[in-house]
Amino acid sequence: MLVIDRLCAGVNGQPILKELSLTVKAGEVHAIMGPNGSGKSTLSKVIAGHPAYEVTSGSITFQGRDLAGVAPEVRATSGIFIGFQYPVEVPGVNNADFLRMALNAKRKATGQPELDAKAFAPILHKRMEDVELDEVLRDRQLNAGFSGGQKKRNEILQMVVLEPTLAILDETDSGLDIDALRVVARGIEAYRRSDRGIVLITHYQRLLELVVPDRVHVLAGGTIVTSGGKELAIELEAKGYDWLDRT
Amino acid sequence: MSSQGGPSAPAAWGTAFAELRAAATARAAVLGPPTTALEDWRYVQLAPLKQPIATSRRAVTVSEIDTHRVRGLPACIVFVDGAYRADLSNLASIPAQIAVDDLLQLSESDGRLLVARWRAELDATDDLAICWSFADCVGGARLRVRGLATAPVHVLSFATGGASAGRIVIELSPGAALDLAVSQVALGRSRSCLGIEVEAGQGSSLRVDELQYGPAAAAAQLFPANRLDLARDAQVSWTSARAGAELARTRVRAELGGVGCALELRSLSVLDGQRQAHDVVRLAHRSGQNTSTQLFKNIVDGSAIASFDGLVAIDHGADLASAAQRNNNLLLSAKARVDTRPQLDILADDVKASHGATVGQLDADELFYLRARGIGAEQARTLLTGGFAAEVSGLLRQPGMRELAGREVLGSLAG
Repeated sequence: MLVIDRLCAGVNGQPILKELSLTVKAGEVHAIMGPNGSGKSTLSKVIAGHPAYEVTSGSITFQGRDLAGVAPEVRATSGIFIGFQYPVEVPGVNNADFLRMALNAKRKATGQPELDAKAFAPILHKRMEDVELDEVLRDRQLNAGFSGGQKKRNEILQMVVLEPTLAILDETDSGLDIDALRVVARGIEAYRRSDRGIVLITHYQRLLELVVPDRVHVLAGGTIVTSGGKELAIELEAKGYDWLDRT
Repeated sequence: MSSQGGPSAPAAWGTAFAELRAAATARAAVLGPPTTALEDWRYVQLAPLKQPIATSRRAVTVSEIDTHRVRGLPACIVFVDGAYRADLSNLASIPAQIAVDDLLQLSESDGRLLVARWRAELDATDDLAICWSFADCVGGARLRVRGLATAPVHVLSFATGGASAGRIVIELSPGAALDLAVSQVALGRSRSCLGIEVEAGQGSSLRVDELQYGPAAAAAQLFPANRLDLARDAQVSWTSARAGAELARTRVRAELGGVGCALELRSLSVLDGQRQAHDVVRLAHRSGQNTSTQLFKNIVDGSAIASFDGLVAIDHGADLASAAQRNNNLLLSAKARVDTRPQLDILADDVKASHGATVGQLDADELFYLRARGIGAEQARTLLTGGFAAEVSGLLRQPGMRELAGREVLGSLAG
């Protein structure tokens, strides 16, 4: 599904990702952990096609298609979803209208008819129930005035509405209390399917107790320095990252 | 039917009115053409003022009036080139709480009082546009509101050509309330000064939706000069959405004279091509425990120019006054220009006052966020620009005015 091959990328001429390789197959959940500044968020932005980030060598292939030069919106409509670490507030843009617009962009790209507000309302209602997001947030301005937890749940709402093939969730668990973490984890688990891939970028083992990954990778200095099973996350939680420097 | 009828003749106090106009003409001549060396005109691109304004006016057809009527607002008062046109208005739907009078037909005592007030305003100004607003004044209307008006009233003002000015005097009795919608529509190359004067009595309430647009807006010059006087516990909320003009300069002078009164001013200008919109606000808290809130937003594309020059003064003794002033500007092109000058002049000790201005482009992170959800770059820009506008346009109270704003003011944003 996703093949990253010796990827080198950076921003403002500053190299961040160095020869990073990663393969995610359909049905797999991968966790990427690593110290601050190791390039985790850069990786998600590069996969999403952020125009400020430059790929200097290597490649990203999604479902057989080389993503070089592919616009962010095309990546999104072809099935890539990024759950942002810091979802931006967009004043004046209605949350429900935005979601319907995003869904219709995907439907249009896949040859499906667009949904009007009436047809979209019950879909949104059901999904909001699923992620336990307060109905009053439906018609608020996108993320504006949302609490940290509400913003993260809103990201999960977007994911379950858009039903992407590949979801890369960048520290979706950070800043969540225990109850909110469980809700988010349930949302991710409900999304999990044999034809979908998930990449969880996280600092903490606690999310991985609720969404058990197939593979865990440690990103340090812009590249994956070690990979393993779910036990690697437990080891990292216990030992931190320093021991990796000594191995 | 058309507007060939023209304004009615002035009453006996017309001599004083004629003298006022002559004095304003003379004062305009003394002041001479504006230059950017003058503080009041510092940010204005003055070239349009050097181009002659055709003197020809034309009739406004019933079809044109119908085109610009607002859904859900049957009560309509029409002005053509500054003159109140009862014959074109729908006065039958005006709520019983409102008395509409032709200014030129006011009683001798009311007329003389009005002229005396205008004369004092003229004598106190060095602003050429204020002089024009009196020199070119052909009349207007007075709305006296007693009690709670049971329906909103639409003021529909057309500028067809030449230089013209008119006045709308709104007097709210203590406890009175009125929802007003104002449309200023440019139908031809013109220079118009429609001034709205509000006397908000104790505990009264006025809510205004205002739109400025028109098929000839790009060739029109507008110099509205509004005056707002708020007595104790009065509330005035004014929301404008404007498409700009060849040269539009809107001046608001507001006096918060009473304790407990509240004034909200919100304005959105959406400019492209070579349009201009300049806002000049002079707001004074004369007594304490009152509130003023200003939000002026501009979306500037092409080679358009916008400016904001706002001064909030809080007088000695006006303690516990609260004033907030904000000017936010969105530049959509490299050639667009914005100047902003928010100012506070505080003489009281215990007040809450803030002011601020921003000038910027669309936020790159917001743009990426939308694109990362599959929304194309162009649509994302439109969405964000509309979002910027919505903070003001979304507060237009009348659904019909919101629709009209979407079409006539925000329509250009759709691309």
